[in-house]
Amino acid sequence: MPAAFLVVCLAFPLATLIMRMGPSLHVAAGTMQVLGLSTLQATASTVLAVVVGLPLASAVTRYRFRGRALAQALLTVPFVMPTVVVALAFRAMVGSSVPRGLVLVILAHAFVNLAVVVRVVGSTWSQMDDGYEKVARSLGASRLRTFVTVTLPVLRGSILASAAIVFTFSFTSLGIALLLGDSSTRTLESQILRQAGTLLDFPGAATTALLQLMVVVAVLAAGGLLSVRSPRGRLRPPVLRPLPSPRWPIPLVALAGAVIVLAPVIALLVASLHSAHGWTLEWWQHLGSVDAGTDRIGSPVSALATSLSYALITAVVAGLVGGCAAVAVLVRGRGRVVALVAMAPLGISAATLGLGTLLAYGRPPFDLRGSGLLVPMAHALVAVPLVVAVAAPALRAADPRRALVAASLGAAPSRAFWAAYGPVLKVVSLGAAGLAAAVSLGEFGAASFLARSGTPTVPIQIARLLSRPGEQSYGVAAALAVVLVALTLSLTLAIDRAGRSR
Amino acid sequence: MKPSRLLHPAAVATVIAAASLLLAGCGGSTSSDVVTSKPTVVRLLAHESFTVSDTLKTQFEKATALTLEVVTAGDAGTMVAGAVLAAGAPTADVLFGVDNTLVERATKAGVFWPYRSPDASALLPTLSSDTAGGLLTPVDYGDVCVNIDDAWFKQKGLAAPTTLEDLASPQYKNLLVVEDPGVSSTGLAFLLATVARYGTDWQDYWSRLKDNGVAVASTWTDAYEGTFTAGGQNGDRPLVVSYATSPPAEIVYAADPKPTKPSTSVMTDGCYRQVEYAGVLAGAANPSGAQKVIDWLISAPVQADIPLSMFVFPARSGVALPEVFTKFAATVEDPLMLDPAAVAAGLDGWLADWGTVMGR
Amino acid sequence: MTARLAVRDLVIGHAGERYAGPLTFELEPGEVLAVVGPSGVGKSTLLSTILGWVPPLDGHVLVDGIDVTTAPVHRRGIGIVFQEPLLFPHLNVGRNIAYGLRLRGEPDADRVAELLSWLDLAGMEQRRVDTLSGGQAQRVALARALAPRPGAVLLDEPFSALDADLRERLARDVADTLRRERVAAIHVTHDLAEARVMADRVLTIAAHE
Repeated sequence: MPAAFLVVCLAFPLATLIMRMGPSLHVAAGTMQVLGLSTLQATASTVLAVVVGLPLASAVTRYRFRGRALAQALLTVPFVMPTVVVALAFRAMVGSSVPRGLVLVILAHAFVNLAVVVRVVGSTWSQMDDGYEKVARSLGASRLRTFVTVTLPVLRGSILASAAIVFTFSFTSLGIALLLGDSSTRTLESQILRQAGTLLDFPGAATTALLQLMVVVAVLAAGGLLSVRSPRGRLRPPVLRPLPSPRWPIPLVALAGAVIVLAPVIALLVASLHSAHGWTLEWWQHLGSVDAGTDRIGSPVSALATSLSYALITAVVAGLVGGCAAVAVLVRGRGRVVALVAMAPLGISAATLGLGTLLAYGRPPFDLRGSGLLVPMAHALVAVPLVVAVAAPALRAADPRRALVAASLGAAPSRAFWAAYGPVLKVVSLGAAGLAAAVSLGEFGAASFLARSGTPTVPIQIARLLSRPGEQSYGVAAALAVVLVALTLSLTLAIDRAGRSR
Repeated sequence: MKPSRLLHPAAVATVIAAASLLLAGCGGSTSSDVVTSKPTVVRLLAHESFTVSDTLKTQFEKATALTLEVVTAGDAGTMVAGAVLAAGAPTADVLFGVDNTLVERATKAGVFWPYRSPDASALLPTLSSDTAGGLLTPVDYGDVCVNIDDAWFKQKGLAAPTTLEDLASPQYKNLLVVEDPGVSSTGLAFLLATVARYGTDWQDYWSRLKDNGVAVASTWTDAYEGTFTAGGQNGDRPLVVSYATSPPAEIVYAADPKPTKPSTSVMTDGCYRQVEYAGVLAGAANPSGAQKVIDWLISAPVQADIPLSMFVFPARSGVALPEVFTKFAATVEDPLMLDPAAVAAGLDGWLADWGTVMGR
Repeated sequence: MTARLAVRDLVIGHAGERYAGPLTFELEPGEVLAVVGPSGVGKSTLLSTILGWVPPLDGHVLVDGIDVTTAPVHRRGIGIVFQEPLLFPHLNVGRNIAYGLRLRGEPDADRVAELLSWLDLAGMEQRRVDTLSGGQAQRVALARALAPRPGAVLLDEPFSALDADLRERLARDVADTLRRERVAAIHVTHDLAEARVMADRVLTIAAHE
C-alpha cells in the first residue's frame, strides 16, 4: 500500500526532524504577517495561472494539429526548471523594466504553474464526452454559455484540484519569492530559512513549518483532493478532435502558450551564447568539463547522467505509489487519510524533507547514504502528490458502472476494477509519471542535502556555478540550464507519446 | 466492490518495490563497517562552495588508507543548522565551513569534539589562537567587501567610493546593492561590519543607506549575477557587497582570451573578515580519520590549492598565492571583526532591528 | 402544412469524401424517420450534419421552413439524444430538463412536470442524475431534448445501451411522446425491429466504397 511508502519516506523523517527541533506553541507576530502576505500572493498567482491555463489546457489536450504534442510538452517545462534558473531567466528577459516585487513574482509563479493546470485539468477535459457540449448547444446554448454552464461545472473537480496545487506551490515558494520579490513577497518558507539557517532558532522554525503544513492541508482539503464527492461525468479515453472551423484560434492559443514558455528560455539561451567578446560558443564547449582542466565542480555531462538515473527511478516509484494513492482516493474512509498523507509533501519544503531524510536515513541504524537512493526517495516523495493530483480527478470521474458490468459477467473484483479504471489509469499514470520524472530533473532543495559531493545533479551544478563570479560561471550555468530544459522537454515528449500509443 | 481486496495487486507491487529499494540500500551501504574493526571511510561535511582538486583527495586517501567522502548540505547556514540538529549523532565525521558568525552557536550546541592539530603552529599568527577554546581549526579566511565596477565609474566620470561613509553620500545614490543578512551570509557579514564600525549608531547608518536608495537582494547570486553591472546580466548597480577575491575570480572565469586585469576592484574600507573553521564532530564514527582530514586541510598542498578552488585566502602562513591573487586580490589591512560571543548574543536583535529599519 | 424538418440535396461527408447523398426528404410533425445501415457508413455523420456540428458538403437543412444550413448549432431548434444519456451531472433531473428553457428565461416548472408525467417519471424533479437507472436516464434525456419545443429531435441509437426487454417498451413510449409533441424525429439505429416499432419511414444507407 502507498501507506507503507509514505510512512517510510515521509512520516519517519519528518517526525525525526520535528522532534529534534522541538516546536513551541508560540507564534511570532511577524510570522502571522508573513502568512497574510503569502496568502495574498498565492491567491493572485493561482487566479492568473488558472485563467491563462484553461484555454491552454483545452487547446493542447483536445484537438489535433501540427505541433500539439510539442506545445504540450513545452508547457510542462517551466514547472520543472529549478527556481534559480527561472528567476535568472525572468530577469534576463525582463531586465529592469519590471521591478522586483509582487507583480514579477505573480507572473513567475503563473509561468511555472501553467503546467499544473494544463495537465490536471487537461487530463480530465480531454476525456470528457463531446456529447455534453453537443447536447447543450442543441438546447440553445452558445459556445460561451455551454462553457460556463456545462463544461466548467463538470471540470470543477479538476479545476479546484489544480488551483489548490498552484496555491500550495506559490504559497510555499522560496526561490522565486526571494529572487524576484521584495519584502511584500515573503513566504513562510523564507521565514523558516531565516529561523533555522541564520538564527538557529529551531523551535521557531519547527513551529512555522507546522503552521505552513496546516495551511497547506486545509487548502488541499478545500481543493477537493481529499473528497470523493464531485460531479461524475462520463469519461472516455482521450480522443483528439479535428479543429473546428475557423481553424486558426486554437493553434494560435497553443502558440501563445509556447511563446510564453519559451521566452525566458530563449533569454537563457542568449545568455549562454554571449560573453564580453560578443557571441561565442565557448560556454558550450566547456560543458564537457568546467574550469578547463582544473575540474573541480565536476563534469556537467556526468551530472546529466546522474540526474537522468534519479529521474527514472523517481518516475517509476512515484507513478506506482501515486497511482495507488489516487485509487485509494476512491475508497471512502481510510482512503482519504492516505490521500491526505500523500499530498502532504506539497506543504513541506523540499529542503526540510531533505534534511529530515538525511537525519533519519543518513546515519545508523538506517544508513542509506552509500546507496544513492536518498535522492530518488526524496524526489519520489515530492512527485507523488503530483501524480495523485493528475490521476485522482480523472479516476474519480470515470464510470464505475463498467466495473459492475464486468462483475456481472463473472469477473473477479480486481478484474472488474481494471475493466473500469484500467484504461484511464494507464493513460493518466504515464502522464503523471512523466511529470514526476521531469520534477526530479529540476529538483534542487532536497538534492542539495542528499546528493553525494562527487555525484551532483544538474541543478546542484548550476547552483554551484552560479555561486562564483565570472562570466564563465554564468555562461556555463546558462548553457547547462538550456540543456536541462531540452532534456526535460524530450523526456516529457517521449512519455506523452508512449501514453498515447497505448 | 470490495476495495481493500481490489488493491491487492497494486499493493503487493508497491511493497515489493519498496522492499527491494530498501534491500538494495542496505546492500549498497558502505558504512556497515562501522561496528567492527577499523573504519575505512571518513566523511567530511561541507557547504556547497567547498571544492578541492581530485589529485589532492587521492593523495590523502593513499596516505591514510581511508576513503574520503565529501557530503555537502546546502550553504553554510543550513549546513550548520543540520549539524546542530544532529549534534551527538552526526551524519559525518568532520565538518568544514562553519564561520565566525555561526561558530558560537555551533560550539554551544555541543557539535564538536576538541582537537588541536599538531600542525596548528604553522597557521598565521593572527589566526592560530582563534580556535573557539581548542575546538576548531581555522582553514581559510576571506574578506567581505564592497566591490566596485571600475568600468562603469570611469564611463560616468565618477570617483569610486572609498569608505563606508561614502556609501551613504548622495553622489552614490541608488548605486549599491547588498544582500539580506537574514538569508545570506555575505549580507550578514556586511551588517556585522557596520555594527563593528558604527557601534550603537549602526541603525542610523542603515537608515541613511536606505534613504540613499540601497537595494537589497536575497542572495549573493542575485546580487552579483543579477544586479551588479559587471555580473552576468543586465544589472543596474555598480556597487555590490561581495568578496575581496571576486576580482581575480572574474579573470579566472572570464571568456577566452582572458583579460589582463579585472574590471572590478574592491573597497578596502569596511571589510568584514570571515574565517572558516573545521572541527571534529562530536559522536563521529571515525574521529581519528576526522583528525587526519583536519591535518590535511591545513597542510601546505591543500592550502596552496585553496585560493583557486574556493577563492579565499589560506590560513597557513608562508603559502605562495597564485599570481592572479597577488596582483588583483585586495589585501585588507584592517578588517572589521566582532567577537564571536558578541555575535551570538546580539544576532537576533540586530537582525530584527535591521528588518525594522529597512522596512522588511 | 410546413414540414418540421426538411432536407434538400444534402450531401454528407468529410474533407471532400462523400459519405452519402444527395438526400432529399421532408418530415411532418410527429413523423419519425428511421435511418438504418451497417456501422461506419455515416449515419452518425448524417445526424451531426443536420445538427450543425459538421458542415455538409452540399445541400440545405430547413426547420419549420427556415433555412438553417448556415446557422450555428444553438440557433437551429434541433435537439439530440445520444446512446448515453449524458445528463449534466451537476444538475438534478428537473434542472436538466429545464436547461433549454432557462437559457431563454422561460418558466419551466409546468413544462418539466408535463414531460415527466408523459414519460412515466412523475415527481422526480429533485432526483440526482446518478441515482437513475439506464432507462430512466434516457427518458430524462429525451425530456430534456423536447422541453424547449424543438422542430426536430435526432436520436442516435438511443436504446442500444439498454437491456433488451426495456428497449421495446421505451421505444413505444418515445414514439408516442414524439407524436404527441408533434416533433419530427430521425432515429438512427442498426436494429431493424426497433426501427419498425418507431418509424413511419425508413431510410437505408448502403455501404460506400
